[in-house]
Amino acid sequence: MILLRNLKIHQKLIIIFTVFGGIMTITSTFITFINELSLEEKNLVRNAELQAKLISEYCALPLDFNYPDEALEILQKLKNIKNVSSALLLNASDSVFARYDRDTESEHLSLYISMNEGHYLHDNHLHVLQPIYLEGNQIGKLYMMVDTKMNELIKERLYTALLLFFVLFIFTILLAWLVQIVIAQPIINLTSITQIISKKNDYKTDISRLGEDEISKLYNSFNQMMKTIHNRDEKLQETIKALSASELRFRSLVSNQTGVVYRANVDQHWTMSYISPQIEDLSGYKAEHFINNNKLSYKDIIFKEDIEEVLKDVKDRFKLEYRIVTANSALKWVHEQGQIINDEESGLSWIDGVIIDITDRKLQEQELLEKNEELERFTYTVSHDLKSPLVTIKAFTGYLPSDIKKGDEVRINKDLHFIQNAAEKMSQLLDELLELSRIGRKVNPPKTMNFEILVNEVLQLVAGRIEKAKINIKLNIAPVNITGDIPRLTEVLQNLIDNAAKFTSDSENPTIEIGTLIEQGNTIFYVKDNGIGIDPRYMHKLFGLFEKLDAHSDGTGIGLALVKRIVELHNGKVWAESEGLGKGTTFKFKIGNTFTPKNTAALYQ
Amino acid sequence: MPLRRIMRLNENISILLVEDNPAHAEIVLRSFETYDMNENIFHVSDGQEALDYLYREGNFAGGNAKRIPDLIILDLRLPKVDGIEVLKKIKSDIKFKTIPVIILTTSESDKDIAKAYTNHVNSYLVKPIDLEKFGELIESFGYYWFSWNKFPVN
Repeated sequence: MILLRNLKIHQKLIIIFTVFGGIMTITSTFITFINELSLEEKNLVRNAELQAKLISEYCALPLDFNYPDEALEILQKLKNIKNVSSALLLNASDSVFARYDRDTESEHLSLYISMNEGHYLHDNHLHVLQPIYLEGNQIGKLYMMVDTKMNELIKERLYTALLLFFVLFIFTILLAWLVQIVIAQPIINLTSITQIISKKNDYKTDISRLGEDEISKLYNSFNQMMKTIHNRDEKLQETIKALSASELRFRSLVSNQTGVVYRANVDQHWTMSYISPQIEDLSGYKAEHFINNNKLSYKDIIFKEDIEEVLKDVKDRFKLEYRIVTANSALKWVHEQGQIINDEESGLSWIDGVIIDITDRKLQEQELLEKNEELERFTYTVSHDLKSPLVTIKAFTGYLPSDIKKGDEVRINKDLHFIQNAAEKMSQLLDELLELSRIGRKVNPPKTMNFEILVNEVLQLVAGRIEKAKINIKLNIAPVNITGDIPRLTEVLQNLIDNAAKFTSDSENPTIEIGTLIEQGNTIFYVKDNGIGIDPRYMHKLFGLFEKLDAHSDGTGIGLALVKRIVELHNGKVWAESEGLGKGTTFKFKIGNTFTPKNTAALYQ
Repeated sequence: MPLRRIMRLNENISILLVEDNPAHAEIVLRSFETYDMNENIFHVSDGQEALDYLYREGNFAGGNAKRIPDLIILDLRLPKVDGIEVLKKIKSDIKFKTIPVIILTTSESDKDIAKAYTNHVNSYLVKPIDLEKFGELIESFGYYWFSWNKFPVN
């Protein structure tokens, strides 16, 4: 069987059928052959004995009466019986009485005379000896030799057997072929189909077969199996697709989010076992630098002042806000959210967390805080600075009747002066508040204008005050342009010149210089006076809303706040320089080049 | 008026009035006229001046030394140095922390009130808009501080 293992199924079938069929055919042919041969022999013997008996009956009388011629005549009747080749009639004394030979006399006949009654087969010849009786006495013997022609017979039978063998053998092969077609071929086909399917991975092919036999069942089960595989395959493909899509999503989530994802050891250094590459955007240090504290530990970049607080708060689930120092020494605010994970199976602990840059948010919070403070100051002022003149007016209109009654002229004048001042202050305050509230709400499209032309226009607006206070105006303007909301920029200059005029009026030879200069590559516009100057202690209050540095000045504390707001809307900056009291003041401002009406509107919505 | 007579009990106390609005300062001074105390009141118009007065610096440096006030009436919104800052300075200085400080302001903001008391103000008064009420306030104020209140002895 081992020899058959590697043969194809139809080869196996043919070999098995041929071998077993052959053995069976040969055996059956051989048995038939032997059987037929012995049957033939029996027939031959019986016929010969019968003939011998018959002839000996006929020859009894001629023998008894000693008529040899008549005996010969009887013997010669054997001519009709083809097989008999010789016959010998012997008398009681065993001498030859009559003799018949078909062809030539055979010498060896006498050899058999001495044999006993019966038959004897030898050398293709049957020898029969028949005693002759008359009235109970043996009077002689008949010897007969029959040519059996056994060789021919055997040959003849052998041919038949061979013919039979071949016919059977062909039938066997035909049978094998038929079996092969009916049983093996579908299996072979199935094999080749499965091979093709397994090569192409195409489980969609329908190979179902009609029928109730095992092969059909095999085909149908196989078909069912393929369908199942195909369905599973499709599901698998779908799952793989979904999985890879979700992986892609996850990847893009991790790589596109602004946050840094990390896994760290639970130690005092945040020893990172993984940190996503975004850390480079955040800190300026590469992710590899943090892994296993290769070049630095994460703790190293936490702002020193915040470390204590941070270390205290890292437990279980935590949310932190602290500052880090980036590679180029900038401070950034980050929000960190993490969890300490204790894996019971492995006994390991680690921190999984996310770090997000919240610098912008913090700045916005700061800005919001400032805006809130400003708003608070605003409402405060509405209740305080608007109430103040009201208190004054009410009080002095209250004093007025009794002062008139007393005829106290000094007091009457004082009362009226206070009332008038308070009323003026109130109207000024209301005007300026209105002006302030307009900034940012109403934005003019940006225009570019020659700065000197703008200055001259503004000087015409403030000409009255300048002339009255006898202030000298000096211009030191380079041919530069200014771009922005021109009406607002006009207000800036007007306020700065007004302010300068206000505080130079008491100076000797009051002078205001308006000009431009270049500082660190930027064009700076300035308004310089030789007035009372500013005490450096109060410099920070200069631009605050409703802040006044001089209780006796007639300002409302809005003018410079207005200047600051307009300049900032132009992405610019305004500041004051003064060497101290009595040494004059220079107000300087620059305008950013990204001013667009859109972004200013957005700021104030 | 019996009130005047009682008031005389504390007739020697000195008061520092810190008020930037000259009209309001005038109102306070006129209201105190009934108590005949105006000689005892010294008026400064901003926070820096108030501190200079207390520490004898700036315009108040040198020989013409003023006595340390027994009572300080302080406005909140002041030029240069804010009222709260002045209060903080006073209450954190061992020399001045015993001086009663009364805030007299137009602001009724809760935040301002809280800030004032956090910084140990002794009283917080809001300027009434109505003159009659202003007069009443000053009258009660005088009655309380000039008659009943006991000041520490320097």
